Amino acid sequence: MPPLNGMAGALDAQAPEFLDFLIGISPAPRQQFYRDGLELLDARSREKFGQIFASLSATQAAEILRPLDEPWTHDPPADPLARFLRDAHLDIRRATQNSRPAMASAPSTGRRPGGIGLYWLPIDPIV
Amino acid sequence: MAATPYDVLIVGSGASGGMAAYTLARKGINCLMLDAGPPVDFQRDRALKAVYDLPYRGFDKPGRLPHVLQANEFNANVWADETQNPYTYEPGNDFNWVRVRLVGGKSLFWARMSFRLSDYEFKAKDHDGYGDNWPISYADLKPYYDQVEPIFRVAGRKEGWPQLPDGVFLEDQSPDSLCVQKFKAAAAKQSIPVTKMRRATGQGQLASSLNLLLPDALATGKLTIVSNAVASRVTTDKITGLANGVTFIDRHSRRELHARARVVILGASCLESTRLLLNSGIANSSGVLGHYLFDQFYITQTVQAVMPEACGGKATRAMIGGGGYIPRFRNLNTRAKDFIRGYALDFGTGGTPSPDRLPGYGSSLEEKLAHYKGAGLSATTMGEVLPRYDNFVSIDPSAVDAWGIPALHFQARYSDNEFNMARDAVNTLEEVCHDAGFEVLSKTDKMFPPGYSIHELGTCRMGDDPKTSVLNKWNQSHDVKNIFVVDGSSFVTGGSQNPTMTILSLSMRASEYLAEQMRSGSL
Repeated sequence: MPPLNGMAGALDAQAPEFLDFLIGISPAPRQQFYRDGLELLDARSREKFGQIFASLSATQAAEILRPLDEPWTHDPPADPLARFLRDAHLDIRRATQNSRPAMASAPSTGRRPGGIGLYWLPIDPIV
Repeated sequence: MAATPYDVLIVGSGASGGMAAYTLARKGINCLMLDAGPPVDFQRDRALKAVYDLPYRGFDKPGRLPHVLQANEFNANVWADETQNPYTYEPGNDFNWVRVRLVGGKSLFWARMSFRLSDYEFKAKDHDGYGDNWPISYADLKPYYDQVEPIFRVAGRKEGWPQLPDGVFLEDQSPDSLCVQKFKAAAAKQSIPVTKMRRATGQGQLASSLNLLLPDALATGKLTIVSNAVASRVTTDKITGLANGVTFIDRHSRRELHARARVVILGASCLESTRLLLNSGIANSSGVLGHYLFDQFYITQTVQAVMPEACGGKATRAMIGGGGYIPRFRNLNTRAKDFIRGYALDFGTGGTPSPDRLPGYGSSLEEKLAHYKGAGLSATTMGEVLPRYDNFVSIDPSAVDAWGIPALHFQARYSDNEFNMARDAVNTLEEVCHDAGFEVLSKTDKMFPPGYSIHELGTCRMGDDPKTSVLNKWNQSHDVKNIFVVDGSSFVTGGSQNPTMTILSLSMRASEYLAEQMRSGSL
């Protein structure tokens, strides 16, 4: 999620830090899914380019991320890396778009800005 | 309160319980209403917030509401907490039991889609030989639909179709956009009808028991509402076998209390009413209490398409926007090859396709989204699920809720009839989109798990034969004559129409019958 047209990107939005927090408090299967996915991402990068994903050039990274260009199917892809990329991509996009920097940099439309809504407070919770 | 003699005790304050109170209190009958949740105040309990100010940026606390796919971080606090209100199901066969425990119930948040059933549902067995007919026909319920729709201010367009009877509508005369016109023309080539959505407009965007039913009932001075009262069982007189009240637990103090009444009405929502009867060990001489559980299967974004002329920033209000409703059109005068009954479709236009279902990422995805902005068409399929004995709920002796009340166990799965119907829906919709000149971007025939529609029905069905049904045609228990169950559990079939108008109408009809029985001294 790069910065585009003046909009904040994932790094500006601190999306990696936020997702680290979110996954860290998620149920165990979700944590394992991310752990396996990140390991697979590096393993596939090493296999193809001899280095971990974070060290790849943009062109090399695009090669690894190619499954994201495949048409959407309801059932998750058979390839576990493709499955991870699909989920992680949506999480990164959402974590970015729902951040304060992204909202602040969104072009004003003159209407109520996106991302503002009526929040239901806890209603007479059991103590 | 426990010593106060009430004429009628109503469990539940949502659509069905609210309508019972509205009908009975206005006839001078003294009613006590118990609701498991607290009262809600739309001013006090809501606040405008930015998503980035929420603790989880809109993701909500992970694992909090695993079965409420409708939940988001803005509304997470209105759904029943599954840790306090657990239930169990067969491994691999999830049931999404979505509940609201607030005064007003689910009527506070429903989508307000308002339809009548027809004799294609009430007399379904006569039409295709499957299952059972209801013990009533459309003509029996029509006078009640006629009264309910004006209360809820239902807007719609009259069409004269036998499978979707017209109602007493605020006539929707709004023009169709070019996109909707093209869609309708393509659908018409396949004899598929399209109409305006039929929706309860209520008052101030709220069409709830809370603002349309309970205020009138309270104004009579004949209704007392007790909130935070978690009903645990219906009690009966040992000599007569008749119900004499309800035991309930105060949600906060956990004190057990009992309220007495001459008649008990259950409108606690389909499965809570059935759970209450199962936990009470009554009204089940037929052995079918809990059985014939069904809902409507849902496929959201069955098809995502775009209108090419509206892409690239060319979408205007005259060109695209608005939506419509396709009522059941299969198996009316012809027979589909691999399923019985039918499905409905609800479509909207003028949105932007969901990025979740588009290929690409980064700048390529953002460019696509900008190109498609405002040019989208998306539809939801709502299909009839056949009532089957082997889809049921029972009491799970190993699970109790936060108040020690035994929980439900679900056994429910869809059959080939539903899977085949879903395939037909997506193929048909894709064809109509292509014929209309739209570009289909994604499609799916995968249904959400049972329960997702929040239209759970059956389990306490009505019928003329006490050996095969729990209630008679007046929503009255065959076994315990002073118990009435007025929510969706009484349904014999559900069709593909959203059930709220039918629930309200049945509740009004049953309550009027009850009032007459009480007046004449029969009860």
